[in-house]
Amino acid sequence: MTTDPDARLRSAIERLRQMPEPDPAARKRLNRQLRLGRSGGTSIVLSRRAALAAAALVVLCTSAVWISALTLIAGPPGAVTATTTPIQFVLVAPDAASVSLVGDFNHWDSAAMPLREGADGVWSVVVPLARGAFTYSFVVDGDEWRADPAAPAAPADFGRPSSVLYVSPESTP
Amino acid sequence: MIVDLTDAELVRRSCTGSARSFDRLVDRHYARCLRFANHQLGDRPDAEDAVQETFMRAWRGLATCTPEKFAPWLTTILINCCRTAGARRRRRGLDVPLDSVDGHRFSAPARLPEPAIENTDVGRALATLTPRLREAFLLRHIDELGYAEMSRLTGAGESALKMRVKRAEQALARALEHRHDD
Repeated sequence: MTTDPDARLRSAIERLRQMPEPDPAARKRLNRQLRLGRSGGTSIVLSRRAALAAAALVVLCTSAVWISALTLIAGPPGAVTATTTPIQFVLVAPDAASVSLVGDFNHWDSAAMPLREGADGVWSVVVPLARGAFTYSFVVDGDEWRADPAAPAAPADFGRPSSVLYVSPESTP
Repeated sequence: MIVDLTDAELVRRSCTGSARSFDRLVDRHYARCLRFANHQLGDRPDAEDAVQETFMRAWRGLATCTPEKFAPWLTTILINCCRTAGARRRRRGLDVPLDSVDGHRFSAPARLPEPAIENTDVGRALATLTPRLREAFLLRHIDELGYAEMSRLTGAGESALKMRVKRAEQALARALEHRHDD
């Protein structure tokens, strides 16, 4: 090395050089994606974050808390049916005057699904969605697009920040 | 035995359709890639995603790789994947030191964002560096690359990289000293 870090720095470098223990689940996911790629099949790269989001969604949608929350939060356009799952969208935006939800499910119409402001600047809306993958975003004060930081980023956001939501059959309460 | 083959030979075999050969390359380089991504991004799930994307891109573009230069070629892909993932983190408002998370900077349904860096003294000190300084520091001191190779991999000039490494060392030493005093 051409540098001469002090002892503390050298110790830190030694710690950083230690190889991490790979997570078997992550390796399995990579192997699955490689197999799909080799077979020429349609490969949907499901990241760990996407998988976590989907799992969290299942938990959220099947919990008793979620069911009771439905009675407290103003309903969205459309009704919950046997084939849809109620999904709560939340954005913390204390400085916003208005927030709306736009996405595949409402033809990106910023007037279709306004969020309601709750305590501490927490905006929310509940939307019944059928199974599938949806791209969506929040529109703050009519012109500022914000992706949902708790969801995977959309692979192609058309120049605007947007997120992806996966609704699976298992999500149905 | 396939395990004894060089990277170059495994690349050649992979290009002829040997899935086992590419799997062996993954086995050989996965931990090294994960180490860099984990330190660079400071977040294990994002690091695993970046490494997954790295190997997927490598598999798709293997025909463009010079077999004898597989490791640096893979590192270039990894660096680009980490830069993309880092930009995505900043867009999500997550790439900020844990100590300075501002409630107005992020939104999340019913949960806070994950810490932006591993919860260790060294990890937190690393998080104080800018992505460029962190990248240069990791390539130099953790992957133990020379400046000429770092320059080829990153596209930055050698003198600029030397400056970044020096600044990273100084900043990291200060951060570690500060945390030691705490």
